[in-house]
Amino acid sequence: MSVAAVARKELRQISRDPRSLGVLVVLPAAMTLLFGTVLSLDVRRVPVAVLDRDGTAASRALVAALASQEFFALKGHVSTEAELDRALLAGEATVALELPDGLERALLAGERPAVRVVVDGSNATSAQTALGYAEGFLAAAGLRTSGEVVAPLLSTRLRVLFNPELASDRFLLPGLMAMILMVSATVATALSIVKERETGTMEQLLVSPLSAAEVVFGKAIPYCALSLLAAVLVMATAWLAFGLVVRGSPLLLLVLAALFVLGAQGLGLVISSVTTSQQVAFQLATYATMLPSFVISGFIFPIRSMPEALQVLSAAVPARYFIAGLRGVVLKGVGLGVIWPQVAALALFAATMLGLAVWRLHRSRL
Amino acid sequence: MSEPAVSLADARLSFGAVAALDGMSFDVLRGEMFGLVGPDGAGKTTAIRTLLGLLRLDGGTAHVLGRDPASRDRDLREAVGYLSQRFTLYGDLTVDENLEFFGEIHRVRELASRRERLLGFTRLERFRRWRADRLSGGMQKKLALACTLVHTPRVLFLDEPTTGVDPVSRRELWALLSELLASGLSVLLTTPYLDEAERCSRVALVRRGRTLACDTPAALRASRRASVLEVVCAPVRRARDLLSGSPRVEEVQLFGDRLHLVPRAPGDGLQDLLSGLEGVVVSAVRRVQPSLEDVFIWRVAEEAAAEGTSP
Amino acid sequence: MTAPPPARDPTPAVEVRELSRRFGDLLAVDAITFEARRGEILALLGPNGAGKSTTIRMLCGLLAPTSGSARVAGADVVAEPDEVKRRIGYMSQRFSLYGELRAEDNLDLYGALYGLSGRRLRERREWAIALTRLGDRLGARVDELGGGLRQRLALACALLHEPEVVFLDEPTGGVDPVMRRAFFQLIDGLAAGGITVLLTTHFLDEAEYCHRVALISRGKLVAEGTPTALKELVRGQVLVEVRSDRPGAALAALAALPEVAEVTLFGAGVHARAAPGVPEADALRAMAGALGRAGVPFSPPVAAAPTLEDVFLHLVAMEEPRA
Repeated sequence: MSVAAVARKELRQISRDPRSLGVLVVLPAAMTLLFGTVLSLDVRRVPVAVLDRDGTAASRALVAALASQEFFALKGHVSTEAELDRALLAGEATVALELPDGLERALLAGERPAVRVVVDGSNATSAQTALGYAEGFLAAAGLRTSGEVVAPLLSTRLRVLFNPELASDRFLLPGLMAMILMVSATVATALSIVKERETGTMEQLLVSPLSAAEVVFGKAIPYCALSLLAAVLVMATAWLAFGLVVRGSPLLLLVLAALFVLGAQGLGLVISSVTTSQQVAFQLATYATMLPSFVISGFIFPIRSMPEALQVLSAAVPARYFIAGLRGVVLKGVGLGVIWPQVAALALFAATMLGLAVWRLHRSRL
Repeated sequence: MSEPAVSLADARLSFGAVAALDGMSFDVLRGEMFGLVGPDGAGKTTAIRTLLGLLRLDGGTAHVLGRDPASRDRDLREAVGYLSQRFTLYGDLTVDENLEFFGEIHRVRELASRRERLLGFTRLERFRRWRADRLSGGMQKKLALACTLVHTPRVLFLDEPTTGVDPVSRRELWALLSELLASGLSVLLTTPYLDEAERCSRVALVRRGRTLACDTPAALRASRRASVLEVVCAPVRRARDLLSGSPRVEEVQLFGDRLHLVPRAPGDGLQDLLSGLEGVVVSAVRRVQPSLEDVFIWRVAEEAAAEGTSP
Repeated sequence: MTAPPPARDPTPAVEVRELSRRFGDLLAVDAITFEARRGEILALLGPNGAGKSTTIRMLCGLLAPTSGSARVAGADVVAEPDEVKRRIGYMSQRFSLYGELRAEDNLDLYGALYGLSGRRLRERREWAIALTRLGDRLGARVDELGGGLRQRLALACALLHEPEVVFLDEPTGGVDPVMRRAFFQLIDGLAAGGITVLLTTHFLDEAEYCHRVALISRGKLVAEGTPTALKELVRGQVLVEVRSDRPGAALAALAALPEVAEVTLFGAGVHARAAPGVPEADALRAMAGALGRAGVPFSPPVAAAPTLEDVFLHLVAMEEPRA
């Protein structure tokens, strides 16, 4: 079968090019490790300044408990409000805690004293998180200090499903994997056709009885297999390094990945058919995949918070569906019944891209 | 009279403002080695690509084995082989693997035995496990030729097959091609080298998208009814200067250490003129056949004169 | 009637002695020795990979020889490579010019590169414009110029600084024979004025235009002399041209003969080379006999004129490829 012949040739060529092979299969896992370690929305060791007006055992216990938390680092005590403000302004503290006079008395009396928390908002993301932690801590601390089950200082009840520690890596890893897989899959195939054109072998293929579809599928299949291997390595890395366990069906995961990768490769082949040099193909492939996957796929920034126009645009980004499906299967353990819209979207993208690649190749005769 | 294997009639094709083919016409008969000869930009590669179905004509017709190549008929593609100017091999695959791949995409039956025959024919058996990019230029060309022959085509298009190849490999390639012709293959080859054109059964001289002349090399040379005298002498420039002034000399061309003279009167041996050249020692005079290059240049000049333009 | 050539300095413009260059295990250039006199057009002829480019790079002062010596325009390539670069010009049809720049920009660029300025630059620029006959195409982009004009422009740029020796790298490859003739007329005019031209090529047509030819193969200088003298080297051989309507059959009939060393397709017929030691008459008789027995129609065999290719093949045995 001609498709098999093309696939076999591609596979031979890739296997003789250790650098390409490394980039395609090993690099995604390596990047997952790197970015997973570095990339975190978690906040650690936020500097806190405390103004303790109470000076009682209860207030001191509260401060000690605060200092023992790993996400807070007690910077120091101040004695006036002015000093508190200065600490925030100078950037010495990101959070300032003002414990009121009469805190212990109020807690013992069963009242609900208000603790003033001031956060340096100049880094909005971490400020939000810091505020959240502080409020959570105070709620918990409030319970412990009084020794009874009292209504917490905050009237909200927080319970985090599926990611109790709110570890952001769990949240980020699917997006990271999607981006890395997409970029590597697209780039690899984008270079493939252009290289044949540059060396002149493409002409031979065009002149032979091979149809455009046979060429496209013959190239897509081995690259798809290798990308799936890369996906498995990425999952393994995520499991080993970050403790990420797949809750749902691994088969469904592979199906999702396969569809996603096929779409990415289709895109790569389309890019390859419109560019004339490997350098341009590479750049185009990188830009066309990296930015959308990073910014508007839901990787980090929630889609619902984006402006309308971008939300619409994000509907065309395959990474969005892959990430949603991935989070579903990996973090929530859902099955096809729930994520079928994502599967359908990815299948549609793959079919469209591959179809486009076939059509373009069929039309191009130069 | 059997139908030609390949024919191009009044072909016209423009890329934007540039007319790559401007009414080019020629026929390749079955079993012949036909040369399409002309300088860069003459339209040779464009003509071949049209005949391969890679380009569509704006006007005129193209036929290969009686069919229109632009129709992308699968049977036609099976019957045609193409060796392009660049090596068109997979450098990172071995000789064996290249042959295997091309055989498979052409659905060649009994590929294994065909491959053995081709390896023997091109004397590449010893190198079958070598990566293609490790072979010398000449051997790569032979391998490329073998890959185009693997599916036993009836028509072979060779685009400048010996450009950049050393004379030894060139001879080998030509020997291979000669053997193929004996088996009934029709070959169209393009070349910018007029000396190579001499090896073809018939030749079309093309320039600027048009056919200047089309005939056997011998007939073309004979058409230049002048005789040419090759004169080895020294100092050669002085001789040239002296002779170009003579009314008996139609044309004088300097070639390194010798001159090619075309006397105005065909029978004129110019002996007395040559022995009487002042300060010049003539060591040899010989009548030579005009080369195809002479014919080419002469035709161009004629055409220019007819059009009233400069060549 | 041209003026008599200027009195020539008898010192060779280019002197190469036992020049060698090794790259690891590979001996790319193997003890090459030759000379080029002033005002001479010398061709270094050989296939790709023979060592021509390496030799030229050494002569241009771009690469140091492993052993041997060379003097170009009076400067030693090992001791004074920079001086060599100042005295030579280099033209490569493919690589000399910047396609996106205009013709005059290229001239200005080369002028600047060689330190020309003021009046000298103006004079040379005018000379270049006259030589190239660019006329109104001066402001055109180089990649829009035709092959012939580009060639002349590249040559002019190479000669802008009035070098004594100029290296031309495959200057007319694949170009119109009409333009090739015009180009060589140009070259010849320059040589007449005393410039030494060293041409590297694998095109035999180009070599025919030169005064002397040095054949290079596998790093070695195989032969050297005028084209005429070189062809004499194969004079002893019997080369025969046989016309036939069935060249394939003729080929088959003659290939089997012991009197025939080699036969190839040639035009509407074949070229046969007699085996060494076989007199012409015997060879012709044998060939006629074989063709007659095979029933192949043919015209009486005639002696064929040797070409430089025959010379080359005679001198260079069938080779094994490099690893």
